[in-house]
Amino acid sequence: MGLIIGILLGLISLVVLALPFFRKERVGGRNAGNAGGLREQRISIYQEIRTLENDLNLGQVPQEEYEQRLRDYRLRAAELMMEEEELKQIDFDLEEEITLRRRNGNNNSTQDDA
Amino acid sequence: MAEAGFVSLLIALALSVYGLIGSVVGKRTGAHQLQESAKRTAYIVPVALLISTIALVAAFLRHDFSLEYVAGNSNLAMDPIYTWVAFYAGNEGSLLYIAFVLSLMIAAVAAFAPRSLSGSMPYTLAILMGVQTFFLGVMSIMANPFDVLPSTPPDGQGINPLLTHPGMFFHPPMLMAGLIGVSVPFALAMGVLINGSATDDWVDTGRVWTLIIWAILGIGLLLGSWWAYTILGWGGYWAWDPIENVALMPWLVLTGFLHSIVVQKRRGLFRVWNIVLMNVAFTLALFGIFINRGGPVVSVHSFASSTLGWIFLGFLVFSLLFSFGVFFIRYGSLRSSASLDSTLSREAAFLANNLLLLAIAFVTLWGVVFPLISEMFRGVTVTVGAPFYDRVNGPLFMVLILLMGVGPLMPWRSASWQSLRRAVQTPGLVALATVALLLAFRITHPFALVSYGLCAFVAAGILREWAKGTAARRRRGRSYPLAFLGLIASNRPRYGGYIVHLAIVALALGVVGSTFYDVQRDVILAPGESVVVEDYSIQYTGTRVQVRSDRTEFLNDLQVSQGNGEPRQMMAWRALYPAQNIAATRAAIRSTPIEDLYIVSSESLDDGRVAFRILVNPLVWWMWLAGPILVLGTIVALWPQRVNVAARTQRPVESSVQAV
Repeated sequence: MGLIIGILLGLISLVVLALPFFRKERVGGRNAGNAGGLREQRISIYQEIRTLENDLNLGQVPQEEYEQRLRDYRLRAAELMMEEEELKQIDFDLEEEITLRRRNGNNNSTQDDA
Repeated sequence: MAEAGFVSLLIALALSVYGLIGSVVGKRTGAHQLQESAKRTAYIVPVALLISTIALVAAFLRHDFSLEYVAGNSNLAMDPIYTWVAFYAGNEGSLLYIAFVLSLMIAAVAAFAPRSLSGSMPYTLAILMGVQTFFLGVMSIMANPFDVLPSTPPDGQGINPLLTHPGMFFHPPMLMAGLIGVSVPFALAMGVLINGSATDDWVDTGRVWTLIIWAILGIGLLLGSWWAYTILGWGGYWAWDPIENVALMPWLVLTGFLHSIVVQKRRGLFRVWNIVLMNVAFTLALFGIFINRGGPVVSVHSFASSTLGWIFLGFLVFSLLFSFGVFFIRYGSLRSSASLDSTLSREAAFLANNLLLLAIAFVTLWGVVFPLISEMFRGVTVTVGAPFYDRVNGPLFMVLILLMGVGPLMPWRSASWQSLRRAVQTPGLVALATVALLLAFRITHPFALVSYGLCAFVAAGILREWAKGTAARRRRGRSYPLAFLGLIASNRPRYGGYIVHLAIVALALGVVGSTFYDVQRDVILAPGESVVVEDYSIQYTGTRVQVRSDRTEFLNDLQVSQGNGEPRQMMAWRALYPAQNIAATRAAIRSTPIEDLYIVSSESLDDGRVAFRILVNPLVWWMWLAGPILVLGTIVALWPQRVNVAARTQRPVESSVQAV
């Protein structure tokens, strides 16, 4: 019984661990992950803005400091959004290029066959 | 089934080693497939350890005394409900439990890590796998719960009777989970440092994990106090015992961290400090595990003692060198350009709070290690008892409560003395009124007066802010309940923290009340005899004796009336376990928000008389209320904050254009 469970668990582990080696590594889409990270940072900034508004309502932040920090936060959020867009554009361009090259490759091989 | 348990343990160990090496090599060589493969071990190890856990629990349920661990921690008379407790009652089982809990945490880290940590995640996982490998290695080589005896005994030695208590279902597992759980925020911090990536990336995830671990440890400590109060029969709940202290120390440091990480998030300050705090918390957590696993400190309840202590001490030293080694190598990247604007600011209050918490932790550490140092260098055995801790830590805790009240009233960056005076005016007046009221009730102990005044100050500060915030939202046309809930939802981490502060106030009420105003009487009563203690008339009516297979129980019946009230039945339970030569008690407790009547039978004499210890403990009820409030505060603080990204999307661009 122990041996059977051990062998089964061992085999399943081997298959699960080996699977990534048989998958093609994704070249494109890496930036999508980074873009996701930037989005998380942006959401975190929005949360900070919310807290800041709350502090203002409670009189814990002077109006001047509130405006200064709000400006900083918004600027940072805008920068992050632009970075996100740039990364997405790079991904998009890469995918376009890969598709184009594949299509060209296919056309060349069809011509060779002919 | 036991073989399956051991084989699964070995497979878990092999996977853990692979996960550790694969993560580091994959990251260093840029082999993403190897990284992904190594990451997958995080999901398989819990499955393997679940099989081991099931195998051990099944062995207990089947009374498989061929296993040394089962024979040593259970017997035929043991109620099956305590199987779970018996599972971690000894060293081997508790190590398996710790490894299993850690594996679940690693799986959660791997599954829910934010994208911003993807670069450092291989290092984080490698560190966690390293800790896991250590525990699995120790278990496989030196403390195997599946070790078989040369011959099977007809019955086991039985579980420690002090462990057969409902509190034991949660208290030890929560403390063990809390102590090992400190590895997670530590590994997140170290992963980011080793990777050399932006040093604030781990702040959000680290805060969430720390909060979870902190709450687990806190509830574990409270449950331990409740267990001690009801079963140990001395009428107290906290004895500054080394085992209690070693769980308290990382909790204190994590409390400090939870405050200072907010400063890092908001102001970019305290980066170095936060890493130091996390290293200290992890080291103290390992120290706690070391003391629990047969460390050289004598404790009233170190159940799982063994000779493994030195192995754990070695691991502790290695971890200390590793964590501070990484810290010093990366020190340059941690330095912040921002600085503390004013000593009169919320950041400064948080720093003072951190220093106080660290001071309390190190006083406690000194109390734990001093007997060792004394014995090692002077050959003199000394005991550091409650008076030392009360004298040193008591005033520190009072200042801490003061800061807990003042800190949230201070603005970020800087405050003027005038604005601070305005902020503390109302809570200060409430505190003074409270002290005056207490004096009117002839409560005159200076320590108690100051403590209750500070508690009132903290509570008034919180309630005032809630009232102001709710009123501001009410002006937008919302009803009071909706306005209040909206306020809490608007900043869950902060208001969750405030709820936790209220829990600490409740805890302080109980501690101060029961420390300075408890009444204790030791009496010997014959059946039919009565005694009056404070407002209570207590009559001992007789003892019922019940003989069980493993123990003889004495059910001492009492009739209790308060003032002119109706008499009520209470029962103080006591049992003798001849096999273990242990007497266990369950106190009869009548608990109200004002006071506890606590009766424990300490001895049954041959002539039919019984010795009782009777205590009237004021306000202890509030201590136990602190637990649910603390959980509520933690849940509120952890609840994800929703931000309407779509609605926000346009605003920053517009304003950035304006700003530019």
